[in-house]
Amino acid sequence: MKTNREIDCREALKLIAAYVDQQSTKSDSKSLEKHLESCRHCFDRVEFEKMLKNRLKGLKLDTSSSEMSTEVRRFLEDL
Amino acid sequence: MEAPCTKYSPEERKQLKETILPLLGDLERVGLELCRSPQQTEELVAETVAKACEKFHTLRDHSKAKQWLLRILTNQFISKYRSKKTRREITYDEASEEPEQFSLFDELSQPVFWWGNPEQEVITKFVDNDFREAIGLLNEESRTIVIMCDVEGYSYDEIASIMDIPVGTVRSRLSRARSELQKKLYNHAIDMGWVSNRGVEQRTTADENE
Ligand SMILES: [Zn+2]
Repeated sequence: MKTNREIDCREALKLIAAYVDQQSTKSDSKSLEKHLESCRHCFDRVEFEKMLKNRLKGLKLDTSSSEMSTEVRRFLEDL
Repeated sequence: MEAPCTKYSPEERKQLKETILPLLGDLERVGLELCRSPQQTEELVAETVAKACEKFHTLRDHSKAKQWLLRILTNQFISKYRSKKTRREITYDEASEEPEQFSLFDELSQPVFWWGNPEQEVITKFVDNDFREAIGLLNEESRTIVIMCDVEGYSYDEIASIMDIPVGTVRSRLSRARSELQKKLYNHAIDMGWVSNRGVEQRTTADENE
């Protein structure tokens, strides 16, 4: 069993994007979370990036609201 | 649009219809997020469907139809609207490992002061349209990757498959795209007077103290 390595702010910075995207490996997540417990600056950075990402997620449009491509739709229906 | 489809048998045409029609709404949504203009979106979707009909025989795994269609759509979008300037930027992007990054957090956070989080306060001032405008200012590649990852919520692997690039390239392009986006957002915040060039204005704190 390998315990998680201590990381510094510079290493933490490299892991943050994938972490916020929920794309990091378990061990990277653990290392980062451990760092965040003791580093307010990186903690605030993660909170900020999460907040920004959340706002962008909110831009996703409603699929059902768009009834634009009537010609294309008719073409496909008639196939 | 009739022409490319005459080469298919009635059975194949049925399959074509059953594959593309249920995904048309997804194409329209992503198209509109990319183009922001309904007219351009309609054009883009029509071109995408025409191309998909033409290349339908190349789709082997029908469970991947959505990714396949999104790949056609994003390729079409990028090649249609890409400017010469963008081409040059791509070479630079692939060449340099760690291009200079702009971070909104670094600009706005004030680690010296313990009260509040000015960087978070600034984000709450943006309305959705401000974010859309900022994304619209990005070049086509950056816009596509931000929309695929942050707006549509696709994983790095899915984006790699849709955009037909390695996962490592997804990461580096995403990082650059976000840096560009944050710079646009920062400029907007300055234009709106939400921050001064020297950092966040102390107005909010001052108001609270009164
Ligand atoms: Zn740190």
